[in-house]
Amino acid sequence: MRISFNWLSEFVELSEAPADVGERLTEAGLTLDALEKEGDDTILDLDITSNRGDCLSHLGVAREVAAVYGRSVRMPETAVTPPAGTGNVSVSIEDSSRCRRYTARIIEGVQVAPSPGWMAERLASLGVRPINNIADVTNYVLLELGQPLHAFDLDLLDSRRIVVRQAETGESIETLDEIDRPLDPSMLTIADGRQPVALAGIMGGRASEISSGTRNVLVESAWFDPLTVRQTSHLLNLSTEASYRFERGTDVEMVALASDRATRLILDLAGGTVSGPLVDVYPGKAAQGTIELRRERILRYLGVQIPDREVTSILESLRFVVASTASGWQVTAPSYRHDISREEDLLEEVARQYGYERFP
Amino acid sequence: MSLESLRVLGEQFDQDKLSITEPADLEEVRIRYLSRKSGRLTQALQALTRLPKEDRREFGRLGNILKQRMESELAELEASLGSVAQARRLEAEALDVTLPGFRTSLGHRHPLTLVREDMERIFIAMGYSVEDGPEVETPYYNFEALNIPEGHPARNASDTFYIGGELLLRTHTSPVQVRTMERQSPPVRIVCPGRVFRRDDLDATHSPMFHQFEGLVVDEGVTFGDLKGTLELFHREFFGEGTRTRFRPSYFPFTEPSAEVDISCIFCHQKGCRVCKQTGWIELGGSGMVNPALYGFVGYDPERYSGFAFGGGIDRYAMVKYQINDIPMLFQNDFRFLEQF
Repeated sequence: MRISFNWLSEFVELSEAPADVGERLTEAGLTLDALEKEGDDTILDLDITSNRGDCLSHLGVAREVAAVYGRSVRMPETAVTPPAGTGNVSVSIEDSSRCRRYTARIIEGVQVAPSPGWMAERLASLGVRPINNIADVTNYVLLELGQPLHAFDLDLLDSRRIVVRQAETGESIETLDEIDRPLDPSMLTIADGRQPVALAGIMGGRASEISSGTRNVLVESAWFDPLTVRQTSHLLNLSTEASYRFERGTDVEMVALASDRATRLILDLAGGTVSGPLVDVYPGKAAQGTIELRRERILRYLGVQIPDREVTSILESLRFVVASTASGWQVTAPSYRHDISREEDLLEEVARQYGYERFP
Repeated sequence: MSLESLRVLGEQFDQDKLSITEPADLEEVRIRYLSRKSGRLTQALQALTRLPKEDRREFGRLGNILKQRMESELAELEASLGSVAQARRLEAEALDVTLPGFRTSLGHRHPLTLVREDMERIFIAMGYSVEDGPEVETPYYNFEALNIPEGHPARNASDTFYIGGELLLRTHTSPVQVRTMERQSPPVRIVCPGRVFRRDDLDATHSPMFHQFEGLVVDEGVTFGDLKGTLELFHREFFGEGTRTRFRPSYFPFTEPSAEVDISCIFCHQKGCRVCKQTGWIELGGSGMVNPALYGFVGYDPERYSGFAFGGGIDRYAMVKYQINDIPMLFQNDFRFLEQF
């Protein structure tokens, strides 16, 4: 994953040189593959292991940097002006296990145009081709927060309806890459009142693409099941920045925030007004489980005695919620850490933040 | 008998002589005329006694002249026939005994064998045993029992050689670890070298077939610190005293915590060179604490036992140790290359 050092600095205070930050990230498990000078910016090319889908964004890497240096993370501007109008769009999810959450935001009266230079340059330096201000915002937020988004031309959707459902035999969709793709019932689609308009989590349809004439926009921000996205992506031999992230697990709690962030940027770059409240259908809300970490397990498994204070501070720096018990700790992982489900996962977190080089 | 008959005999001999091309023909002609019993000239000369006295002298003289002529001509012919035959035989059996003989090449160890034996030697000295297993495996041993469930990206058919639907060529030697754990209870302390297969195109650093060297230790109280100490010692033994080992956090489904294993660059001593790409470190393999999920497959108690595993390419170690920059060279069996080891 290519990370802009300047962008990273917007999230976390950094006085260190890019090479030093890369070195510390390598020690924490985000291996620095290469450093590239890009104008007044430096690009860090990081090798993100497949269990750390939460690090496939500038925010995600910033969280790791913050944990390493013991600093805090600043969130980007997401304030949205109060809505005018009613929005008037309906969203329904037919398969809530494969789509735990779907949000739709309506912005009316936008002016589609090329993005300003700073946005186009930032995207280009990270390997993303600038298209227009609406599409660019969705790509920008993907790189920033790790949440893939999709923007539809609202006026090209049938009956202002969004239905998240499995594809029916015989249906097909022409995707944005101008390829007509036959669908089968194993695939999850976003449909309007009539037909599929997007392949869930992979690519939008050409029929409702944003064009220079687009006036009203529907911004999708959602959570899709990793296995479904991987299988469909594999079946269609179609892999995208979006599918890459959904396959590795996205943060269901980031969905609304990312929508707000995109809305803020679209209002800034393309004008328009927010219409109606954010439509947020969230049938798959689940409480984050707690995991026990036993003190004696640290010594027996890692072979080193780490003071309680340090264990607590390591876990808290990674934004785990920690409660002390007689034998150790009860720990709750943040919603984006899908890789943490057992005691050994916590041991690994403690070990890598403590520093592998400090082990005897 | 008359003098005339001697003259005819002489003419017939001259005729027969022309048809001689082989030693056998010559012998036949000799017998026909000069055989001691039935030779025609011999019989003619024996008939001498029946001639009138006054003719005997002349007949005898001419008869002896003819006999000598026949003998000397046949002898001459025999000599020339012999040299032709000998020349022909020499030509057919040409053998220059002064040519140097063919040299027999002495076999010696392949660099991969040298590296594997060196690795085995070091680990055997540390109390490990060497284990072996099948190269054709079931998905259960190659994936499931190693915490790589169905649907995991590592199981993609684009990375693995499947044989029919049921079998595959092992993608790592880790199935040997599972099989060993199934067979014996802790303590386990093994290394398993072997061939593995992945669907990579052949280039300077990839080969569809390569060699792995993995190790596994499971016992009570085995720690991450033990893993570090073991590999640090191994690398000092294998690459030389000053070699440092670095552990970088990583991710593998079968270990947790997981670590990439690097050694300090043995060529530039961390000053930065082409081999280490200016980083001072050379990546060699992976390692980690055995993911307790694996113990469930082999019936070990994860509360009682812990363990570590590590692995690397024998080819990779050989390339680093001998500074070989092209993996296909290890498999082409070019003597000019192999004889350097």
